[in-house]
Amino acid sequence: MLYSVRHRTTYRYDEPVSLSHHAAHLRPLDRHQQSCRSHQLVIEPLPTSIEQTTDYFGNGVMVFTIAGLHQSLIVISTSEVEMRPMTLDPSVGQAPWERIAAVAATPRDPADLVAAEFAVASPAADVTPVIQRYAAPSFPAGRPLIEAALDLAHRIHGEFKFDPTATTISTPTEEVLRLKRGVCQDFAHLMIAGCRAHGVPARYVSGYLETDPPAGGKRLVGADASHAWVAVYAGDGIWLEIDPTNDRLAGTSHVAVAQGRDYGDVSPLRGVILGGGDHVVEVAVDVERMLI
Amino acid sequence: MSQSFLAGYQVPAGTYDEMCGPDGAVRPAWAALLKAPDFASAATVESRWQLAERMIRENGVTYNVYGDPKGLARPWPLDPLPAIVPASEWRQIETGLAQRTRLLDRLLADLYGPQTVLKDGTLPPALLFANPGFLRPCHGIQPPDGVQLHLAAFDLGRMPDGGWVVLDDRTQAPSGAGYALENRMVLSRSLPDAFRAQPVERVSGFFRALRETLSRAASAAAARSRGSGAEPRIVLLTPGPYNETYFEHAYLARYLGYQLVAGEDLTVRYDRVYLKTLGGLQPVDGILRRLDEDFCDPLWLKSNSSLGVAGLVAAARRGHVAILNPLGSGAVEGAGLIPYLPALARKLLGETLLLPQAETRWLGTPGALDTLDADLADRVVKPAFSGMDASPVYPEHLDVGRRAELIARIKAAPQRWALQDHLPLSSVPAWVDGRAVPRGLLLRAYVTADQDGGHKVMPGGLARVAPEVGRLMVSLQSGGGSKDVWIVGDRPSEHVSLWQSQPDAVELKRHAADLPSRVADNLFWLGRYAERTEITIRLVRAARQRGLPDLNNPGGPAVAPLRECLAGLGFVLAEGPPQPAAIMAGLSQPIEALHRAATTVRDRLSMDTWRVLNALPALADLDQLLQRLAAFNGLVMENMTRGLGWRFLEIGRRLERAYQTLAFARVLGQAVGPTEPALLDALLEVADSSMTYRARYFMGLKPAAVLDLVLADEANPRAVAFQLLAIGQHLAALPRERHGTSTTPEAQATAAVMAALRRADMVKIARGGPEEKDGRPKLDRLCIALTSDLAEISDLLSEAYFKHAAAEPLATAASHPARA
Repeated sequence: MLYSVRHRTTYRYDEPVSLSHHAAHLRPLDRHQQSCRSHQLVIEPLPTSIEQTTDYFGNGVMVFTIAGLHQSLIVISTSEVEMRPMTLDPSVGQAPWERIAAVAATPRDPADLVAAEFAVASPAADVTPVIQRYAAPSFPAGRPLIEAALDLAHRIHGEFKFDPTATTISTPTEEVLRLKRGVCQDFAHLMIAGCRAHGVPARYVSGYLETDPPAGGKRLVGADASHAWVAVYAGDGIWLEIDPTNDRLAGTSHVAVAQGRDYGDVSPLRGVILGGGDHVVEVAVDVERMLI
Repeated sequence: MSQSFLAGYQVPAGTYDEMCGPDGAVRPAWAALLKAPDFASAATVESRWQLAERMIRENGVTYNVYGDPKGLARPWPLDPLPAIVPASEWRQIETGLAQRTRLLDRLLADLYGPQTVLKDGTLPPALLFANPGFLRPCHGIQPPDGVQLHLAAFDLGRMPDGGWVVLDDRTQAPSGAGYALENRMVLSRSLPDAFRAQPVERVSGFFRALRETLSRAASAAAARSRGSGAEPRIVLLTPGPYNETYFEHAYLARYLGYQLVAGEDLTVRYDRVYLKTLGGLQPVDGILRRLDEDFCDPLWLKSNSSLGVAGLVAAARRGHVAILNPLGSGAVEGAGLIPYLPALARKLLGETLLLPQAETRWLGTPGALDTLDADLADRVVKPAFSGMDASPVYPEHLDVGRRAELIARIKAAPQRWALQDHLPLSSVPAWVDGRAVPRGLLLRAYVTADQDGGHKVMPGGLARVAPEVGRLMVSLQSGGGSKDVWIVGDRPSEHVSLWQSQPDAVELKRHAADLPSRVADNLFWLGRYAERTEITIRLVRAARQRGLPDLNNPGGPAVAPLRECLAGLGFVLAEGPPQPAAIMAGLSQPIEALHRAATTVRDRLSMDTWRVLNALPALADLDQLLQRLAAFNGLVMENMTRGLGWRFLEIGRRLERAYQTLAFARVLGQAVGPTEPALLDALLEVADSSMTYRARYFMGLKPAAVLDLVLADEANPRAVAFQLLAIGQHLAALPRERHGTSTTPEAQATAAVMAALRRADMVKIARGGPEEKDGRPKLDRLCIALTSDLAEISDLLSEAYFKHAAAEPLATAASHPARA
């Protein structure tokens, strides 16, 4: 399966910006289930300096600076990504969740040590008693990890209303739990925090999702969006990717761009500006299946 | 002979007292102190204490208390009695602290590098991964000098058996070394006999080592970013005047000879750090960081910080700047790490940890919570990590409800907490209400990296005493006191003071074009507020003199216009007889604004100048206030070098004076008819030009003559024209990078206003309108036009020199919904 992804971000400022620093997590990952065949970034105005680096979590980051007055910033990321179907070995995730929690608490091999980093609270996925209580019914003693994780995703999907107006990127997870509303980020953070409250490593995956056109309608350009889901550690270096927003395992239509502890580690485009006053931001994403 | 001083000094049973042995006899190290004439009697100690207090007040030694409206600039609490530690005992502490610093340095190198201590199980991974002080964007950064921890502080307490133990490590941005230095300055002067009676080890060598360490690191960074041989520039980065220990930042910057800067003074271009100055961007190679590390870079660290410098992490990664301590050093600060340090010392150093430490347990270990309720007895709950918004909690001080709350908090996130055995602190005499009483003692010691991988421990430190007997919490934030620490040995120590000696060759500088634009801005406003305060006081005084009901004085009609002028300044003068208390209350606002402005540029003012301004809020009399302001003006004229800072202060003052003179001339100059003489008289008085007028014109008050003197007379230092000429001269002397040799817009605007004023014919301006009630329309129009021109000059100035708004983090776009 080959996808073409176009992700366009536009900032417009009320006042001129004299200097801006940005970091972009926009390059799709290379990993066993996907390969980034091509990736290019178009930035307007032209950056004064730009550098491709790798962050602590191994994601590609483009860091750029624009020195000189500008009143808008347009970043267009275009990528071609090949997705490979993965077959899940039936034994994966069959260990009781307590065992996964135990290896994360006292890791013995490098893969478990990597996972341990995601077993503790992080700024946007804090572990609190309220969240612990919410997640607890999905984690009865001895339940296989995969069942526990899928059950938590299933409950979130069933109990929460999808509502882009209810939350912002800074809404705390406990508040999301109270509102029972939110978007993919909120659901991902809630699920991550629920797993971590039980000692199970879980990380945040940001990326894109191919969406189907409305029945009988034409696919609308720009109707897609960036997406977020969860990777839960199943032991032996294997991570199960689960999409709580859609209540299913992530598959070939989930194109991953970056992974971290939570949104804060991998926000697609962050920046610090000098001047600018108020600003508005627009994002348009197109994920298209390419005919090979 | 020291009986009267020690009369009634009672050490609680079972407590180790620093001064008195178990038999009540004075310990040998204290003998010389107590024999000194300073300690002859309670009365001599009291007088020494008053001297010390006055020095602290006059030097403006302060610390700020958060969340307390009166907390800004509290006088620093210093106890007149030093804590004395025998040198032989201190040598052991020194060796132990140097080892501990070396260990933490190596641990940081491992945690921010290969993380072998996690892989081999020496350190539980959650201690690092759940630690908010572990800054992931800083992983893999190599400091240019290879040192991960340049400056560390340790809190030490003494056990009943006399041994010292470490209670806490401070590695992020340790505070207090500057206060320790100031304490020493004050005490060595207020207890001269006692200080000279014995060989007290000097602390200046520690600061010299610190400066050399930073200089080495900055030179290495300069060599990488600008080529070898570049003279390194080092700055002290402060969060600003509202920080708890701002005094110390300014004090240390001055003592060490570094420029004091805020985040907004710095910028990063091409992964290099620059100081924004009036003369353009100047490279920065070393940063002595007093800003908390997670606030240092809004791009990579805490994104809502407006105190940091975007891109600083990237500059550090390139090795283009040396930061002391490096970003991320707080990862080894919390109490959670303490129980693992002995094993880490064996692993990383191959050594046994020398200095005992308080028995501490990290609650993130499996099973640690099983007996939590019972374990809380006789223990202190401490945050496991630095940067957590929490202070130590003493469970036995809590009621049942609070205790349950604490337990729930711990259980929710056990990794964030540690339990430490509650140690009974030793006692030390403190001077309270005229007598010596025992108080708990906590000693903060400082260690700096020295050359060749060595370390230097400050011989002394900052002792803190609990505010009450038996009270265990020791914190300056909650009202404890501080003490100087004297290490007393048998050999005299070398005396070096950084105030005088500069070991390196000095490049002489006459002109500092590297004044940060933020400082220029603040000095400009200091000038404006000083002038505004002075004019407000003059107006109030004029109104008060004329409003006294028992005087049948001719000034009566001027009261209402004076009140109008004051209203324009935001000062509401009540009707009726003047109420001194209400007047002083009304003045507190401009005086506070002035004091605040002075606080922001405190490090740029001489000690005398600061003292004058610092005393303003306490004055309760208009004449005293005016005298103090005159003293300030005199100091600015006589003591401030004619650099760019002085020019901006002067421009601010001149601009404000021109502005305010136009405002009250317009109101007071309006009257035509019977009230005219009274108002012109008030106008001359407020403009401080009565004497000049009478000396020049041997006649009554003529409107044209008065207006000419106050507005257009270029020789009258109070006239608007004089201010414009002065502003023009200052503008001509500013660096004008932008315009080459051509005239700047602000200079052009000033010249245009001057020309307009010269063209104005004062005889015509002074003519009244067709009717008495019309006043003087031409004067009105002239004042309005000139006022708006002045506002334009001010805008052009800030556009050209002060535009340095703090960088703002961008809100990021929320991920949108996607439902398949």
